[in-house]
Amino acid sequence: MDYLIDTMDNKYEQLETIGRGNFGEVYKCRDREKNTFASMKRILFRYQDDGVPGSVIRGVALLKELDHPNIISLLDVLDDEKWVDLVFEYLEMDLWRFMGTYPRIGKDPNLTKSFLYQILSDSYRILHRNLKPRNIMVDVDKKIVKIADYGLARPVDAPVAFTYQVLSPGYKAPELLIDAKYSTPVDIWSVGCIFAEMVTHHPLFNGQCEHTAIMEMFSLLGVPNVETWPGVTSLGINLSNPEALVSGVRRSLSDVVKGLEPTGIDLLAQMLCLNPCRRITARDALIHAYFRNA
Amino acid sequence: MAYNPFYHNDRDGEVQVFRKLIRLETKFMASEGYYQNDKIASFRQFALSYIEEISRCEQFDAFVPYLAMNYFDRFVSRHRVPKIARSYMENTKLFVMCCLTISWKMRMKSFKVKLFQFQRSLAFDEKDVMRMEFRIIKSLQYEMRSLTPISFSGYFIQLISCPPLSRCLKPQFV
Repeated sequence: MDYLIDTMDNKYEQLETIGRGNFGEVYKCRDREKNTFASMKRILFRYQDDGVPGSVIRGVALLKELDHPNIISLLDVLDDEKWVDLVFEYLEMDLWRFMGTYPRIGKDPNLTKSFLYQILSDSYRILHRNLKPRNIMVDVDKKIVKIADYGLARPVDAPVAFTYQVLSPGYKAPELLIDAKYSTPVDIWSVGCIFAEMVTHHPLFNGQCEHTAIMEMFSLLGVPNVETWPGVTSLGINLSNPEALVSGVRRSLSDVVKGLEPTGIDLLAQMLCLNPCRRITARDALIHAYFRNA
Repeated sequence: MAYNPFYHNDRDGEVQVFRKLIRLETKFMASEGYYQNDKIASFRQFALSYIEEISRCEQFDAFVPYLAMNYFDRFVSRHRVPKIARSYMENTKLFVMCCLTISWKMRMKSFKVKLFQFQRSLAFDEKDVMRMEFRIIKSLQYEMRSLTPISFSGYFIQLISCPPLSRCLKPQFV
């Protein structure tokens, strides 16, 4: 580990490894000058004969463009000829751990509202595809959430083959699960799932595979048909026997997401609209009645 | 995600977005007086023809050399060309080529410098390429998603009630 010391310009003191992926490693470190913490992601270059990897150039350029209080920001880029170190602002807590650690504070309706607003205010800027509580960092003192899910900013790398099968389907929109075309509405769906989870502290959908996840969705939200989702029949789901696509007792959103005020239920229902074309946009969600008395 | 210059005006060409583009654009422009400098003009002329020469290929993407020239202009107007290769001429060519390889990497995920060099019988040392690319990228502060006049085109095309961009001019994104 000696080599770390000289390449970090002595600017950062390496503390501990906090993540690992096929790209390299993530360390927690301390900025010696400012005496603040940062997380440092080291991306090792697989090839030496191809100049600076295109993925690094594109990824860092994209991160440079994102400047938003609800996005984990890129503080520094250090380079060597065999790797780059991306230095990000450091937050210890993610939303998943926050809910587990502070069950009471975490259920405060005003906090839920504030966190949801913050997540939405960022989320129409770019397509994430993988929003979930573990990718949302929480600044507990300031009550700020920051999304840490932008390509190279992702704390733990996505698997090389980035397909839905390898990821938990719990926060995935139906159009992602059935492998249809998708766009920014997939993020609104995930935010909806996170919204419900912030209220109840239980994941809305647990589905272990795409099939059970789809069944859970249909059981809660109803089986789509050509009227609610034009074109749904061409997406490869057999809808001829709707009863086979639901499981358990039919429950409504307000039964499942107990304790959420009626305007919140209405917003949640619009975020969890199965048809991505009719799903509420982030922009409209931000002016929804639920936020009126925030 | 490969860099798509049209990305910026995806959102209905709203005036708000347009204003933001204008504000951001200065960051991606050469410094003032650059185009009036005669000494630089001949260097720029050289770079332009060298880039034209080595960017020729099948399925030519005109945005690649265009973006390369944006990097060149921004860099040359503010910095000295780093000395990396031994001879002056070789170093100059290496610098210009690296502007191009960086822009190609921005536009095409599968771009490989090694194959690119091989196809054109170029033989710059791989370590020198790495160093030169890094110097350029760092000097441009990793701001490689340049805002160029092309980023504004979507906004104007709407105003002249042309058929949608996707139909009249199909840009290729790899």
